[in-house]
Amino acid sequence: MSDERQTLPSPDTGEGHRSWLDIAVGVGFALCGAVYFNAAQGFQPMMPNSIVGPGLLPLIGAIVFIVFGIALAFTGFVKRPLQEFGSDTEMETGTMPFMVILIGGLIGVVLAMPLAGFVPTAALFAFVATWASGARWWGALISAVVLTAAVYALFSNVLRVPLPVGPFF
Amino acid sequence: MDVLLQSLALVLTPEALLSIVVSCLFGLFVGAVPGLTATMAVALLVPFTFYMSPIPAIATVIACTAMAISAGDIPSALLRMPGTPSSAAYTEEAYAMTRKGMGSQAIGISLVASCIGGLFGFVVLAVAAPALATVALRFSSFEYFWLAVLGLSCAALVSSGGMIKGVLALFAGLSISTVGMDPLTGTPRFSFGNLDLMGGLSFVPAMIGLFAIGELLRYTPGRKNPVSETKVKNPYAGVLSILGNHKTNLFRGSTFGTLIGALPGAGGDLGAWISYAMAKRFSKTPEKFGKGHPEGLVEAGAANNSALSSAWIPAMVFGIPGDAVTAIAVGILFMKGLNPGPQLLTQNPQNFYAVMLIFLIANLLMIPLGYLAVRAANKIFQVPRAYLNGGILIFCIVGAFAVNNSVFGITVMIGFGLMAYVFHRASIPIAPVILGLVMGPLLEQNFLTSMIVAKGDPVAFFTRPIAGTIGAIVVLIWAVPIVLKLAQLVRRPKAQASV
Repeated sequence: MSDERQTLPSPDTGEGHRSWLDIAVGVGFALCGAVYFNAAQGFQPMMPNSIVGPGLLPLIGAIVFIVFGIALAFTGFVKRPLQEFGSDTEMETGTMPFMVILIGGLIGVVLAMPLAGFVPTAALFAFVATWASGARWWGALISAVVLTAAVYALFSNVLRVPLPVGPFF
Repeated sequence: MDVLLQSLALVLTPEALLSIVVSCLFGLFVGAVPGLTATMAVALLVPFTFYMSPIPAIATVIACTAMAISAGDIPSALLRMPGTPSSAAYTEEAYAMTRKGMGSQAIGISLVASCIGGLFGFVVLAVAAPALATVALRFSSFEYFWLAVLGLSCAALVSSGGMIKGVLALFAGLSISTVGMDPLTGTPRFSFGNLDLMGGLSFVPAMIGLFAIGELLRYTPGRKNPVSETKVKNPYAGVLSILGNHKTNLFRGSTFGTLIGALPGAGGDLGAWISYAMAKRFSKTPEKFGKGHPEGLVEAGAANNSALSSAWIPAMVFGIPGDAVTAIAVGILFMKGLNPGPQLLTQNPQNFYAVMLIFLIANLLMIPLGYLAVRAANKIFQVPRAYLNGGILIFCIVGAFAVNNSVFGITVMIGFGLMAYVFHRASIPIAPVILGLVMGPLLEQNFLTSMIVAKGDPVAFFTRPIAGTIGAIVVLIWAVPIVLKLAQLVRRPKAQASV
């Protein structure tokens, strides 16, 4: 239930440490809130001289983002003793190359699946992701093909989900 | 009696029984693999529920969650790696027992205590829910609004990460729920002329992104599988006598877990943590805690599963989910036309009692299936995570696609996966996001309806007795931590000045 163990200690070696991640996320929320506030004002209220209508919840959300975003940035800015921060090694953060492969691959699936079909796209992506996860290439290939075929058979034939079909499969 | 027979007929169908057994086995496997959570297991199963009848669909969620939470105790005891967050409260205790050569008992205690706790929660749910439903029938939009706010407030305030991050997570979910048509006027919001966005963001790809893609993004390739050096034979040998020695803990854990679980937004994780702390506080031998003492294990093990059952009280009676899993289940109930709320209990009680029976079956299955899981534990631990990742990704793609038969679902899933990753890095909790997303339309509809009825006068929100009481509780829940924080800030400079 630790709440601070995932914050990044600042390079500042003074009397305490700032959480730059909290500052960045807080500012990000506040900026989103400002944009959201602007957008929320564009909706017509349901009753004259009132704010009740489709823009009310977005307006409240925008105010919360701005106020609490600033509060988060402020708490991140206030220096705290080092012992309030845990070790970074406690948190699994993944690796950048694996994340790029995963997200890049998923974007590739979105673009390629309507054209190439589900089976080749999913099998190729599953192979790359399994291999990148540390499996042997031949094991990744076999598991990707078998799993894709099994999932295709289950969803397409049993559950009747019309999965996209490409020129070959 | 007729109702009970009807509910039996709904549950004792091949489809429902097969769903229970398969989802139990799936939950058992996912729970036993360190790093995969019960919520992730449910998220991966939801696409299958589209194609099921309502009762088997909800049975899938209940059975999978109960089993995953219980199986999470296996790696917790054998590897010192909690399988699910609910097991984390007593991982050190269970592992210390294993080091003392009592690994079998540690797992047996967890499984049997979970079963008893789950059955206790089931009895409370069966008794309390119909009584509450008769009261809930008189509720207007004011009461529903305050109940939704109460649930969401608890979720934001008790979540890990602190109040500020909990509130930001909650409003992130609520704000995302405003995409699409406004529930009262049908005005399109934040859709930018896109037809997919006009229909709103479906919660299924959102949930898969938050709980499955978010988890996968945190995976570090090349990590070796953990190995347990303990061979577990019969986990139930000698467990009944240990439980007999700790009857009070079993009862207190079950009662407390039920109370915590019934509180909207709290859930089993919190129940287990508080129960473990309470067991230590009230123990005659607190010095034994952390060194392989079964007392805390009995209490916290019973608490996490009883909380799981009682979390369904607000979900079934008011349609207000208590945690991420019940939020998913409420979403499924709406999809299936079994709208949760007092009408479910008064107009279609057979459906409610069928859900109750599923609880009973899932909790009883925990004992034999738990035995199988323990016997297969080392084999489960050895399944290479790399291959699991590939399988999970294929399920994610199909699940997100199948919602609307469109790749738009996969795009939404990617967005939510990235959001989960950033939130995790910043210690912002994920559960309030999904609660906000599911509850957003209900909250907004009741809020706007109440505002129209009250002609924009906020005082009207406090004039009805029940609404006023819940409203006052909500105000207190928010005011107390803020006042305490301010008092702490005022006291700190004074203390520093006096040094």
